[in-house]
Amino acid sequence: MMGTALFFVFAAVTLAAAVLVITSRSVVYSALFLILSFLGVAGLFILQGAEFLGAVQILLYAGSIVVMFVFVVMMVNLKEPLVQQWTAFRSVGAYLLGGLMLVELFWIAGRARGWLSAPSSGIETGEGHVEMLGKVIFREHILPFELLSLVLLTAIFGLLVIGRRK
Amino acid sequence: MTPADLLFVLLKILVVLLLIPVTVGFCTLAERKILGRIQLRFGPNRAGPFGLLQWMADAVKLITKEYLIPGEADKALFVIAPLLTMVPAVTVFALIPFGKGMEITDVNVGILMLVAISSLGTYGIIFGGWASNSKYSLLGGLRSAAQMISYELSMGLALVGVVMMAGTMSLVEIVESQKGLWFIVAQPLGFIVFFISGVAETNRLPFDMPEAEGDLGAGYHTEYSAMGFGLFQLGEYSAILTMAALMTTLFCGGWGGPAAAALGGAVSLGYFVLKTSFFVFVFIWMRGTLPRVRYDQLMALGWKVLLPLSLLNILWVAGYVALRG
Amino acid sequence: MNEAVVGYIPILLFFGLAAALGVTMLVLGIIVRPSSPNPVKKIPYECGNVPTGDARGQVRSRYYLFAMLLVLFDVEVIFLFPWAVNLRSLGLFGFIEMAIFLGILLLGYVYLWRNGGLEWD
Repeated sequence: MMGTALFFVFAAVTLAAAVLVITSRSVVYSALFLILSFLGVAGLFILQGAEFLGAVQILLYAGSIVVMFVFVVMMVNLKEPLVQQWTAFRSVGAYLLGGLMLVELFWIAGRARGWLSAPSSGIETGEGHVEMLGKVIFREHILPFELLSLVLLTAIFGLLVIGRRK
Repeated sequence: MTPADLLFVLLKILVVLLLIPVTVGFCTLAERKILGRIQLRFGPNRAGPFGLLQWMADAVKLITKEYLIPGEADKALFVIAPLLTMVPAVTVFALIPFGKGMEITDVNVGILMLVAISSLGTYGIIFGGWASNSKYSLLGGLRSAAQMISYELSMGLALVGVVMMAGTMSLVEIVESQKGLWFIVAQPLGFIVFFISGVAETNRLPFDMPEAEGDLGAGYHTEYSAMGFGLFQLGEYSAILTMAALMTTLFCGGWGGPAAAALGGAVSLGYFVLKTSFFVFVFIWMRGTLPRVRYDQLMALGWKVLLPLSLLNILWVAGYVALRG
Repeated sequence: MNEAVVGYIPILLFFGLAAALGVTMLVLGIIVRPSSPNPVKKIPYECGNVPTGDARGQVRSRYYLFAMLLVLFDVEVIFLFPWAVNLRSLGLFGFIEMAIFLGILLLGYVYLWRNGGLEWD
């Protein structure tokens, strides 16, 4: 009962903030609403029993990634809204891509009912969410985990290329 | 959760929430008194006996002063920004175990949640600096944000050492796992990294570049007056209290001490307050004695010294835990 | 809602009440404080000089690069936490596993350092 009510509150916050992100005239306000949207998503995660994911959502997305966006916003310091550069062609493309994404999301949600409920099952066995998550990552999915370090390594090289001064 | 439970939790929250501004008030008073002594002055001694009511006078002054908003400022953001700093800084108190069984709530990912929420405090500073439309404010806000995110990393890595030894992220269980041995003894390197990162995260001397009065006026809150400034101060000092409380909880046995577990209640709370006050004193002491470092030195310390040191700490603790079991 | 989730409700309540307290403190002053702004008072403070130009100039890109660095290494730290909780049961195997992961990233860190990616100036 309370869980359902909270779900609707968080979902509403997430969606409303997301809409405000794209409708705000000022990019700084967009960043502000993006934080709110991410916090709403974190709430939804926690409500599903995915506590670790919720904390990561706040720390990584609401915490670090938006700081990065804010620095970009201040680095380029836009004087006029970006909207003026939108041509009809771009708008149609954007709507098409967005619509495609929506269809894809619904398709996944329809098919995934089986595996969406899987993560919370560990809690019933008395084992915490994080303990279970750790065991799954470090016992069963060792190779993807190690490969992830290579992805991050590539990103570090990419960063160096971007940051290189002329 | 029954309505009775909810009411009890609400009561606990209200008590803690209303105590925070008072504690912060006394903190500022203690800071001015101690700094005064360090500089061979008396410090505030007019309001009440020994100046003990100075914090009240300050509060009244903050409420009754004019709230100036700079002409070119982004008004809405300018007003919201102090709240963005103050609210997360205060909210983390929901997770700190003040004594045996004296925490508002305890969650499985407690320590991660705490760091996550407190990291949101950056936005008030950066948006406040931007909204003011003042060069000092903007630079102060940017510097502060870059500094906070740089030290967040080594702080997170220092926390990993604690989690490894305790085998849990719940703050209550971390305190309990230190019954035999305080983590400050088991991993002194981790504590040093955490301490330095903690000082830098709270923008305190010797890392107070964001409000270095020598080159930035007052930094990100140059344009703030009255309660806007008051809320920024409240957020800042709450963050200091949180850091001191975390040093106590994570490395110095929290509320633990002789007979604390058996007697519980007030005794355990006493130990917690004593240890936390000590760390708050160290924060103030450092402000009175240490010179400020340069900004490039600050970044170099975070990325080139603390980061490798915290990795070394993880290696040491991991080897210890993995081999000894 | 399961038991673990209930523990987050006090955090949410605390967040709400803290916001309420902050707003109250801001609003409280409106009743008692004076308000008589004038153009001179509204000029940003620059130690007595009259400010020139827009304060929101472009800032240096170093800030952005360090923020990106943080995001990169934060992902690494995030993975350390579930590992640290389980280290006792993972034992030596877990230790080696993480040593490889961190070793590869350390390579990137050293490369970054050697190529000046960590210099502020």
